[in-house]
Amino acid sequence: MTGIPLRRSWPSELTWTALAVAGVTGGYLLVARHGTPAAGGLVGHGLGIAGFVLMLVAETAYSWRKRPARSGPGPTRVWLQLHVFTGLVGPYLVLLHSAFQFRGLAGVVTLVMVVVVASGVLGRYVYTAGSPELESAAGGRQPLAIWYLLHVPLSAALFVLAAVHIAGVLYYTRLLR
Amino acid sequence: MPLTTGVTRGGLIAAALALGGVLAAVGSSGGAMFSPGGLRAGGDSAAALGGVTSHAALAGRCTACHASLGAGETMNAKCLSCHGDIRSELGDSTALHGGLANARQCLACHTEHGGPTASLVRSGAGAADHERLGFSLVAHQRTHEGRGFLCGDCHGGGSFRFDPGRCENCHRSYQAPFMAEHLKAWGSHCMACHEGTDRFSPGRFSHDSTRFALTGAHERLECARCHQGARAVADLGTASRECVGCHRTDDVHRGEFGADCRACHATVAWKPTSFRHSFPIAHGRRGSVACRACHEPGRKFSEYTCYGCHEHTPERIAGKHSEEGISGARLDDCVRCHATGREQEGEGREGDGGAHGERGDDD
Repeated sequence: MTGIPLRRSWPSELTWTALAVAGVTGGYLLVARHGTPAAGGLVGHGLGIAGFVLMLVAETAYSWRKRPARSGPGPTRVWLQLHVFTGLVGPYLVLLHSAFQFRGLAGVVTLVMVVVVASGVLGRYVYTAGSPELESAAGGRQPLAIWYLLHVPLSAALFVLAAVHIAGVLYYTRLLR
Repeated sequence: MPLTTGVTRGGLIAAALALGGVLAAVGSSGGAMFSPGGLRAGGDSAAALGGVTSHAALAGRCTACHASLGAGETMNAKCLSCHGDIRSELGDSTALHGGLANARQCLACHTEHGGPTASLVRSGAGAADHERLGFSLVAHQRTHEGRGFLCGDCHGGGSFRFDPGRCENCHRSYQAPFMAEHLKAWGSHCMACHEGTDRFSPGRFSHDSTRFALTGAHERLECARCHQGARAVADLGTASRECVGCHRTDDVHRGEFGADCRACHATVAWKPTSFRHSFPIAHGRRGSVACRACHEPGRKFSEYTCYGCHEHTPERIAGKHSEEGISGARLDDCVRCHATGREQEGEGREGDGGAHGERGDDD
């Protein structure tokens, strides 16, 4: 457990995340001053689509880059920062998309999403607070167990559930109109 | 352990479990898991349509409204197959649905899954049709309570025909004094003047934004006092911006002083004025003198008489001026020689034959 430098400075990716969340919140409150935008409306769907795209980036880009065999562009640290940014802003957009209605498959998707984000935050800023690269951060494998038991598997499940949710929406609102 | 594809074995297992869970849910409860919300429980009619009295009674039977893929039918057709009352309106141009361009596009105006008590009409639905029918919804996006408008707020009855009485009911609820005056002045046929784009309620409209700011006594006037005969918004701009446009009939000067009322008057009130009498009316040191002492009622203010006071009698004045050769009409123009009303200031003017003589030639 030696030689792991503790991060003391505020992570820059969280600054960017906070700015994005603040901007989105401002715009959302402006639109929502006469009522919460419905999930199926223009604003609601826009939030959902944008959130899903960001989450897709979070789910794939870092996983792809961090494979030891690959030496993609840029340091892995930056890819992790991108993962954190998209992995926080994306779910926030999806949360606004839900119009705070949690029922059926959409409710399950939201719940799984919250668990995935929470496990990610815990893993990144609590268990492996000192290293930008998760794979080499832990002095032992135990702190990373949360990754392999919770964060990564649930991310895969979330992807499947979100895809089914989107397919269901398209099926019922477009194909059957 | 991560696989070479970048997906962990745990991820694959979780994804498979999720997919299995979805399939199990679909198998057990159909498409209910995709429902974005509950269906409306209360119907507008007690009569059963399609075997139910409310959408909520359809429970999880998604295909009651959602057409099956590949079945060759549309959801709009499904709506109309149950709602025969609406179907019969389509051939009646005076009925609500018969007057709509997209009457067969049910989802253009209607929605569902908002819960047991949610409205089935989208907020702002039919806006384009309102423009076409002569009444824009531009000024009716939100009620004075802040909620979105519902069709039933303005339309009543089974055919949803427009009900002018509903304008009055709603507007009276938050601007009763104004509406009382407004209805008295204009009548209750609201759409004769209003086409939905105007809203002259305080706070949204300021007369200062026009070319005639309302000040003084004008601020308290009912609109119709100036906008006489206006029957459309465009007519409001035709009101005169000149004082005499409205005040010619009550001009006590009878037009004698021209149309520049502002030279002496302000909009606060006709009196007091900024007019200063050129003749010192207190010359007799008897305090204030009533206007009619010099100016006869109904006559021009440029006409005056000095015989309304004390020793001035025509006979006496005529006798006193006869030796000066002043007589006739010139004798009535006292101020010409007595500009301040003093007797002495006229002395020596008798030799002013030019003035009197020339004026005499005019007669």
